[in-house]
Amino acid sequence: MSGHAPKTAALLALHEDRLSPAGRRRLRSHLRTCADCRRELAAIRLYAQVADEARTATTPARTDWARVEGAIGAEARRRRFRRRALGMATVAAAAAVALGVGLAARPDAVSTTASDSAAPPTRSVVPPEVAPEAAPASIQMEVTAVAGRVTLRTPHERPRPLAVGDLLAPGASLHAQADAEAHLKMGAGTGFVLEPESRVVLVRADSEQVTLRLETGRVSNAVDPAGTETGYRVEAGPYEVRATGTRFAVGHDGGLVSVDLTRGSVDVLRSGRRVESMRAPAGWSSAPPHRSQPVRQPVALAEGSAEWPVLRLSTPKRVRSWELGDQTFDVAGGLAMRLPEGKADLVAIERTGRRIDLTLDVDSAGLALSEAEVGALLPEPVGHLDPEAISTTLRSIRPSLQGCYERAMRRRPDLHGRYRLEVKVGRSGTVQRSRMRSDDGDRPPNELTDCMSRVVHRRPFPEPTGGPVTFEVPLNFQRVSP
Amino acid sequence: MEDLQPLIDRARRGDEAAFREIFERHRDTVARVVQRFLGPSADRDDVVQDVFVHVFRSIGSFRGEAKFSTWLYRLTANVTKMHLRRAQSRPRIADAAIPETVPEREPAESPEAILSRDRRVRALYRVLDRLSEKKRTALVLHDLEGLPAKEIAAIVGAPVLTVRTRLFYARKELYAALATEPALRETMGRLLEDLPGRPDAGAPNPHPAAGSRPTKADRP
Repeated sequence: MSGHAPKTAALLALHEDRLSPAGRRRLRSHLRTCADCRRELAAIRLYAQVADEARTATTPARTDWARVEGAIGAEARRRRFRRRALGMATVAAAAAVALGVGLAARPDAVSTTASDSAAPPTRSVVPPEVAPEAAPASIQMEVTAVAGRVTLRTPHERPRPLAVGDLLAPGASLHAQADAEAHLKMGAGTGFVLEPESRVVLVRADSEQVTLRLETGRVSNAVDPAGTETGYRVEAGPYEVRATGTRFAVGHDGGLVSVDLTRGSVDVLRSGRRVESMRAPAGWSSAPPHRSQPVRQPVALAEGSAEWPVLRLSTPKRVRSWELGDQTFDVAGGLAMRLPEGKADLVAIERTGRRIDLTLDVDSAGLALSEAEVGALLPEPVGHLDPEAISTTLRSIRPSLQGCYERAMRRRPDLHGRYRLEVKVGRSGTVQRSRMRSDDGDRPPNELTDCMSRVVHRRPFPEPTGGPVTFEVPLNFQRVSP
Repeated sequence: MEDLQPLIDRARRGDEAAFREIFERHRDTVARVVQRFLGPSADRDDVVQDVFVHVFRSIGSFRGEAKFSTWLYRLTANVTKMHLRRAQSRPRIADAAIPETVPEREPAESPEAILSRDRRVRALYRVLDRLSEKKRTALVLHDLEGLPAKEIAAIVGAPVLTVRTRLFYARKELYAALATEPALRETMGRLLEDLPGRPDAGAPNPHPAAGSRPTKADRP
């Protein structure tokens, strides 16, 4: 027999001697006639053999300390040099202004990547007083959260969805679609949020300079004043926004550039000339008046956050957004983000506006929940049905309901009072459940409740939006005096 | 690793001797992991150096919340992946520098055997190059480096179940690709012959050659 998909899991179990004697006999019998399974089993053994050979082919390390020392020595000297330069600048003038001037004097180096930053192997020691000539060290940009669909484009790869844990190099561009956003970290306290419907190119990221080019949309930036000696700038059309030690957002929409600043200071430049110097809180627009918008804070900027586990949530359609702490993610699709190990309190906000509190246990391995698993954690959705549509349907069955009352009066001539008929209409519009109760606690007679139930179940309502709908129909039964 | 923490603390404060000690202790591990990711490659020592430059640069952010080895594995994997990404965009010379991987500790092997094994290992890495980054990482760390799925999950920041799934599908892709790899045709043919449950003696051989499907007439 051939032509079926090989039973890889069973064949692996056979290869690893994990099958029971009976299972082994059955599979061996099958193997006599199944060419595809024989071939798969041979490939399993082939892989085991070659992998074993690859393991034993490992040669001893040849990298010696002198080689690494040369590379890290240049790095250390560069750090010391930059600290001294920054210290002098801080004494000379106000920090923000001084750094802005310092940044303007820095040449724009070619973007570097991780291995480019390593100095060539050398034993030579450059005296600390001599300014280093090594290329600036690259900064890893790690994706810490992705909500919805954000596309990553790099010069070397096909476009693909951005994922938490991706490390980005200069040249990468990110495109967040509607209801999508991405959070990136460049170091403790420094990172940015690419907001929905935005596109940004990572132009440069090294120890001297981080530059983003915002092509459209908005980026919210956090720049740690203490943890970086790195200039930080966002280019937007003909403008450039330079900052250190601050929190700000830059918007770029059809040539209109805007800046919202909530902490620290930034300079706005055009063609290298300063057009605005801002101190928080402030807003600026290339075409006033400026309409302020909130500045988002990137997640997981703490030191060591690269070690945090990842929470992955596939979002059911009924959920419009997630809230975690002070963050709100409007998502179409999934949400993935790094967060500290332990209990995570989050709120699911449904499209109907209902808020549902959830607490998830995120262990060191992280947590991934499928759409169905998230759905199971949420209470039954609440839909919406136009009150007028309910009234129309009720009017059409009113004679039948009246008939139920009259029939019940034949057995209970004194039957009267205020009742409530609770009706639950399912997604398809059919009545799923009905029950009747009295306002004054009297139990309604069975023949009345049975009859009412039959009547409402026979007549479908319009389909509610968003999920089942439950409503009450007040009924006032009054005897008519003869 | 408890006894490592004082060393790490000293390195974080800029103590070069402490950093050197960390390098000496972990050099072989990093070199091994890099080689298992890259396969036979003349770039290995450059990547190892790059890993330690990144360790030096980032050790200040290591707070001991995870094991140092996990942190180091993650950093090594990331640096190696960046190297592989760049390498993929460069023109390649196929199977150059064969002596790079010849182990010095097995002199008893004939040069032919060493060469043949080296070809097989290179074929394996050609196939690994076709896997996605995530599958390759899971496979290399599990099957070649021998790490348990739980530790890999901590390294790559994914649930254990995800790592197992990646492993399963990575192997499945690998089996299909290895079976058609020309450099492995001979070994594959021999393994097919040696399979358990092979047809009874006298029955026609259903697999006249590895890599080709048996014809209807060949089947028992």
